Amino acid sequence: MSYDNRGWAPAAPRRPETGRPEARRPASRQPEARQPEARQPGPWQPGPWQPEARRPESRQPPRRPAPSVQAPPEEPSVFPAVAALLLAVVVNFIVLAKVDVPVVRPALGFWYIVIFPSYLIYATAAWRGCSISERLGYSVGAALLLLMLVGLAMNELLPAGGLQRPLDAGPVIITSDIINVSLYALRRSYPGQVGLHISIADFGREEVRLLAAAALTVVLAVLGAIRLNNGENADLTIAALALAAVVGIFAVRWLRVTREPLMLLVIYLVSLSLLLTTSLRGWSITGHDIQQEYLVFQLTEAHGHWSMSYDSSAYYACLSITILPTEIGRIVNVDNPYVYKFFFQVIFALVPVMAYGVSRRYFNRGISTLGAAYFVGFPTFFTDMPFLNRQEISLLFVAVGVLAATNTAWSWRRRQVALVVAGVGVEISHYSTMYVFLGTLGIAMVCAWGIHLFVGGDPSSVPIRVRHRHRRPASRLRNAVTLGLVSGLIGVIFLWGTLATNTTGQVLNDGSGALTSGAISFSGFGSQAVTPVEAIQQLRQSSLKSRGNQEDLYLPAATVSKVATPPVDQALTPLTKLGNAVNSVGVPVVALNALVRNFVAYGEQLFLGIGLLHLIISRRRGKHLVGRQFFCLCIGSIGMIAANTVLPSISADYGPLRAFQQGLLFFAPIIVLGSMTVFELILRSWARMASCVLCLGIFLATSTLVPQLLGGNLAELNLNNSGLYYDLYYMTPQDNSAVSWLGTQPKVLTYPIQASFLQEKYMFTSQQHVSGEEVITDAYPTLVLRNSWVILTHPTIGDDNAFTFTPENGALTEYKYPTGLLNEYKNLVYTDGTAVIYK
Amino acid sequence: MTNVDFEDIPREQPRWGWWLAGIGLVAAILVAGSVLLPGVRHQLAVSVFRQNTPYTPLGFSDATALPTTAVRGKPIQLSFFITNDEGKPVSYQYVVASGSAAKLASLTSATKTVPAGTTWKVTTTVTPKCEQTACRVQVSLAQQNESIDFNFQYKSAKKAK
Repeated sequence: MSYDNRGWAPAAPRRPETGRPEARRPASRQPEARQPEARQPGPWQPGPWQPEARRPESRQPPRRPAPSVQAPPEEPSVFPAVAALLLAVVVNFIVLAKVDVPVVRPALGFWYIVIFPSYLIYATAAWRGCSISERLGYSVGAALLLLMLVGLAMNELLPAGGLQRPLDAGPVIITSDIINVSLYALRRSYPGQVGLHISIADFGREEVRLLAAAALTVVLAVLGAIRLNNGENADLTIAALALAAVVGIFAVRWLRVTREPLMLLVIYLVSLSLLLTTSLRGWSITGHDIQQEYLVFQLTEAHGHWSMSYDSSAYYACLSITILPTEIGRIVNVDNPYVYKFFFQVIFALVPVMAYGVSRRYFNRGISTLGAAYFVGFPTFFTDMPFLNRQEISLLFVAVGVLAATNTAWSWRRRQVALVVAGVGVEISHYSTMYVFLGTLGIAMVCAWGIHLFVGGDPSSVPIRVRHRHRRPASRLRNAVTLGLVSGLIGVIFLWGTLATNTTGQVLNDGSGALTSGAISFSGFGSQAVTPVEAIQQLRQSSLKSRGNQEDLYLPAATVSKVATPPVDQALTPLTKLGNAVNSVGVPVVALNALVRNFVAYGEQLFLGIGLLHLIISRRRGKHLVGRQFFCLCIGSIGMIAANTVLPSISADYGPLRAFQQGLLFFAPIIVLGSMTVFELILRSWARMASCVLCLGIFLATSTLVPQLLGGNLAELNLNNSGLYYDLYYMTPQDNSAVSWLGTQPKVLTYPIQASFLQEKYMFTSQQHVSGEEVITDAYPTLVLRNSWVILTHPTIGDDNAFTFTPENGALTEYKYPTGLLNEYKNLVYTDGTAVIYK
Repeated sequence: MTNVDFEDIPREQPRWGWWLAGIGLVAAILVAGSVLLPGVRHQLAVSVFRQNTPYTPLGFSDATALPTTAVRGKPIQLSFFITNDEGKPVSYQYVVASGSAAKLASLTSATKTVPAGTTWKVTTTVTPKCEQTACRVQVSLAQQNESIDFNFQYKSAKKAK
């Protein structure tokens, strides 16, 4: 049995394998590039756990390309160009005249600054022979890179010409005009086929159902987040997650009768809905890193100019959270938090589509669809990525880089150049992602050398003198990851990180600090190395010790050293009716939730290992499922996950979870392969079904849909107005009001500001008060200064619970805060019921 | 990737009429429900629009200028504000009190109806009455269960002179 590109249904009978596939097919004779990828009879190495028979046509003598019949050129319609021109005029008018029309301006503005240039790039001949998913990736990546680089150029050049605010709305819209006109001219000179000829009349019943359901998940996700923000229940979000699972089931079930471009749209919409369930929580900025990201965005917008002199932090060096959101924000003119909360998610939701595209290089639609499900089902995707906007953009460039490295329609040199260009995008978007990406490529290169040394050269990658447009299977591509390429990427880091922004040193210091301090962890997915009691004791002792001879600056040691700050355990959600019913029949729900969490965490790693083993064994048997290049890239990404696990600070606290999410770009389908390998041993013909059920089960668990329905689980932010993330990162209107009041206080920054973790959410980010000079330190009792401002919000006001984070041991600890201490020694100068400020 | 791949697959055409009828029915139910049933209207409102979060900020106008010392029997000036973010007009009554321990004695109070979204700025002069050297002055809104305060020390009579 083998599998065609329509799904994993049996394809036409094929001859048994008699040798290496493609070995006798002279690549130079293949008319490739003119044919869209999916028109080929199937993936190059489809059924990974089944021997792939050579295609009948590969036995046929090489055919000469049929002489192309020159069809009379079709007269292009002028309507789209005229419509685009009119819309462009409208956008220019509403931006320059400062007309703020709700919905219309954000929609038109986003179309004009991101979608339209992406479309113009998409429609050039540059991507001839590429599939839709990769064309989308290349064009959106190129448009974003253009926006950042042209924005940077304007930022540097215009002040020299007397324009001191080059990132104001006027210059930005003119920059967009120049970009769009240039791209239009490029497209006129090098027109390509759009390849998206979707007619409603062609829609099948199943396609319409899937698309409608996927679109409905987005609507439900948005409405669900609004309900939760209004203090209501999570019913609509639960419905959105359940519907996403149903869409997943039928997306696999109907693979044979759905067209791939429409399935890409389904993947996109489901991914977007998952992101929005988290990103839209809260009426203002909510999340961890996004607080700092928003600060640097506001700093750039307030100055109308980007300069490292405003803020020398590594965050400020990321153009993806400074120049890019400023440009988008100027045009769409929404409340600035929604540039991140909505528009960045609209962009990032493309990455699962691109991950699908990477997977399709080597695997059939079924495996690739499940791989995409693993990618979006990994908890980091929808619980943390919406709070890591710089990494969202940089991951898009990583995906572009992987697609470029494995592009079968491009020459080896062109793949390398494209990979370096993608590397530029990664570096200017997010330094940490660049280090992890570079590490992945470096390990992949060493892995390829090692294999070459011990196993021998890869016969498939012997350079063949072919014209670059002659496609070969992705598994036979010559390795694009060479020493020269890695050196080139190091050069990019040096140019941007060292020369331009001088931020490389900070990261290297972090890494060397981690190495010299011996902060080594083998705790897998980030479990805490010290107990909460130990963490509190260490903090208390070290903070009292650090006072030195500055005792009079702090609250009296005699008092603060005696107050109790007992650690608090994270509360589980109460059991629901369903949970109680399950509990009553003897199934311990709380233990079950914990068991499932562990199974998912270790199961994915286990299946990944088995999948890789399968690849190695297949290779030994002469089957090139993914080829040496991609195999080594997988090893490289696993190596970086291991490095991040053992040395969390080696890449600026990137962490194994984020590294795993990045790694899923490479190895998500290999996890599927591993699960199928296991199930084939156990269940034989039911292996496929079992793998689908497993994937669904993992999604239901990681999305916390089932734990939410049962209770007895840690509350997730996208489904609750409680839980760790809610307590740590959620900003209520009262919290914002308190911070705004503090910002209006005269000489506010002449006094220290202190707060419970996460301190960054109290930064001044309004246009009037943002400065980047603000430092907020921990308000743990032994650290409280006599003259400082101390901000306390929920859950300290109400539950008396506060958090402290100690970077030395990576411990985040919740404890009971002694508010009476502040009442005794400080003035209570502001209150709004749930947020107070002491002075 | 193109339609050519699927020309040979028998696929059923979508029943557009059913789709239109279904969407129309759902829309009609939502519209009718929101008009006729307040519960449905409320659920629609909390699902689609941001609802007002009612609260009342109370704070000193300049927290850095609060006195740290005072002369017993001499008045001190206070400036604070009350902002009505309750979404409707509210009648606020503030009470300024002072004391050395938990027991506070009222010094002055006032009442005013503040329109929604506006701020009542108060500047008043009070003479704290504290028995001990350490004294606390508190401004409270009893109905909102909110209060702010500051501490100061009485100067000795000699130092005051």
